[in-house]
Amino acid sequence: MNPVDPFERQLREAFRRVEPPAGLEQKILGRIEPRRPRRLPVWLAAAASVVAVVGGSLGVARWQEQRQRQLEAERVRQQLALTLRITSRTLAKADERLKSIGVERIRLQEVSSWHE
Amino acid sequence: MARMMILAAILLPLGAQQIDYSLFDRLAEKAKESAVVNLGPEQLSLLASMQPKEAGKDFADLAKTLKGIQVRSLEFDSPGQYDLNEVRALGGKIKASGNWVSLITVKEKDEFTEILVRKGADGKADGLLILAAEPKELTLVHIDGVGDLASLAKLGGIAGIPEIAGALGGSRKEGPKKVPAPKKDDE
Repeated sequence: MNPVDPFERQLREAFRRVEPPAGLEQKILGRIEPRRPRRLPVWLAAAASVVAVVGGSLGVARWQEQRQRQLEAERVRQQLALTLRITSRTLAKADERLKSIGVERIRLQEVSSWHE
Repeated sequence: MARMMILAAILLPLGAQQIDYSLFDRLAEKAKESAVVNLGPEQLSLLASMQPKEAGKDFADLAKTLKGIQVRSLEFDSPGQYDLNEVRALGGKIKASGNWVSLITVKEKDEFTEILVRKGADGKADGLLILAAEPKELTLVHIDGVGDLASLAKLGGIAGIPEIAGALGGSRKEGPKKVPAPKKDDE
């Protein structure tokens, strides 16, 4: 049997199995767990909620106002159309009567002189 | 035709208040059909502001001069529902104010049509009134701020309002012509 080489002995000593200390596994696993995201501060969350609610309300109010204006404009448009129809119809009848007595046509333009 | 009743307007322009519409408003209760238009400058400006910039230019210009539009149109089931003398008296009262000049008056036995214009401060016509009475129909159109039908006809074809030619100064393409208005007044 060969005497054990001092170097070989050192190697064997170095490669000797050593049991890890108790709890090491949990410590390592604990460190590599993903960090939880930070929560917003309560005051910031509350402020963001208030801004969202106020902004949303203003948006809705503005939309309603615009919608109201559109409805009003449509009503005015219908009344103007009705005015033109009635005016046109009334003048057409007068025109017919004038034609029957020989006057060619009603054509009213801007009056620049006055027949007092 | 279904019964039409368009009621609107909160503000009556001052110019429009000079004419008493109470006769027509009272007779509206007896009418088979009635149409009422009350438009002030705010409403006309609102409509002008809602138009596309290019298309609405003519209308916006007109809306600046228009002060108000009042229309009363009544249709009755049968003749004799109103007193023609009352309507004639209304026309006489308007003319008696001195602001209105009769351009055309057509009278027949039981009906008449009268077209009046109002003299503006600058000498130009700034108001138009049409008063028409037939046995079964009564119409009053008061345009405050515009004294010629050609301007009014410009409304046709813009703002989605159907273009109306013919009696309202003819086609828009023709443009205004300085033709003296015919006048027949048998008063």
